[in-house]
Amino acid sequence: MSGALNALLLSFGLPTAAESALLRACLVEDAAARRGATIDELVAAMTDPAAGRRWMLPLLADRLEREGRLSGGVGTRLRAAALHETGRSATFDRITADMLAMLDGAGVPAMLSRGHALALHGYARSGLRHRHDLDLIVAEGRIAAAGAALARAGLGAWEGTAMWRHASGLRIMLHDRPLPCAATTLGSADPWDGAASSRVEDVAFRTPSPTIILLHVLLLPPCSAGRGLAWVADAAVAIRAFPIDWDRIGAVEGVDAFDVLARLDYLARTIELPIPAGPRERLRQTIGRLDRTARDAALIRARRRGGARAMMREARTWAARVALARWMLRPETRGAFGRPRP
Amino acid sequence: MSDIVSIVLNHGSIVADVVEGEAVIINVATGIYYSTDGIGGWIWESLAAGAPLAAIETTLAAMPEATGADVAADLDRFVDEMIGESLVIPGPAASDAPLVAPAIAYAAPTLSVYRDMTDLMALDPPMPMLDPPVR
Repeated sequence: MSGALNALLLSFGLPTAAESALLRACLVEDAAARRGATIDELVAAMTDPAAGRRWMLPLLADRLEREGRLSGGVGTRLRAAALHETGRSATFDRITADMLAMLDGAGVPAMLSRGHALALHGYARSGLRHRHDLDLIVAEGRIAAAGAALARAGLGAWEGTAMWRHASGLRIMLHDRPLPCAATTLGSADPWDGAASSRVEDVAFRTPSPTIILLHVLLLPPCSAGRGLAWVADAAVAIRAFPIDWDRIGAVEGVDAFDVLARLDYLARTIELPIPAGPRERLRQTIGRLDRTARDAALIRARRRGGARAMMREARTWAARVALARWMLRPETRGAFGRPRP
Repeated sequence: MSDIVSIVLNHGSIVADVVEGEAVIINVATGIYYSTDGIGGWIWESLAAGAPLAAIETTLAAMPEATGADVAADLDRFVDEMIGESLVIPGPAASDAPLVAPAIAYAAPTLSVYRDMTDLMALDPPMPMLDPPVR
């Protein structure tokens, strides 16, 4: 079963080989990771409007600039992309500080979610982390109070949502939990427990602890319908920038163990991050103890994140593919690979 | 020199940075970006420091390599191009400090225009801006 299990792990929304080459160019310390393709090829892949990879451009620009390789027309293009993101981030950070101060003044302190926390507190500078919306976490039951404070400050709301529009066009989303689904074992964890403090534009803010941020990053993909890859960069930054409580990571239980182990293995193997073997082994043991219901739940997640085709593609041997196919055709799991139910 | 005697950077519409003598400028309203290096990069840095056009022209004309070049016409064309792209606007120069001549040979400044990332740069709020955001 190990071949099929490996294929299952690899199928959990993990990047394809082509995507991994781009991620390695942005994230791996060794300059050799940026020599497999020309810079023009890397930039062309990252600027494909349909691919949603523009967030990689400042990271690549930063790497190449440090290596003295940001030159010529493609260098100008990368500098422009990085400059644009730096400008956006400066605006974003100012609005973030403004909103945090205003909510704090209204008696509803807010916490920054994983991406924003890492942008301000993990990446070398916030302009290296592309952000779209400002996600703020408030204590359970306080979304209405936070929304009232935003309304008093003149922000407009989308009716029936916890989503607000800043004059700049930025969307501000209020949450009372750090992940957009309750399907993980982290769903019930209190993000304020062990929260860290930092500052943006002289305004104090709280973030979940680095270990909890890393778990949020690793467990976001199964909560999300999209197939974004920013989790790879966020995890790399979190692991490099902070001391991680690896015992806590290795203690993840249930179906989450599949997602956490699959992504840690990927980060260690492909992004060459220093992830200790002990917690990963502990996660493997946890997976080995899962009952059939939990494994089926994992398969359903896998289907959401790429499905049978991705699993087959990632299976390395024919034996693994056959084992995987048999597993998929079992009556109790077959439904997980059919057409999505509305 | 054209009718415009004094210009300033159009901070309301652009973000810019100069690295190793190359100025990269983005018009955040359009997503079009620009590059100018060599003498053009020096002119951009001088304008960013608040230098008047007359001082820029005088300093360039005094360069040994500028002998025989029509510096005034080169500068005129360059400024007109930047005004046409809304990168600079008429306005009073902020500094009368003497300029240090560029440590490179004179060549007519050129502005390269890039429209290949407008879809990536435009209309993705919040837009980069230098003025404080209005709530």
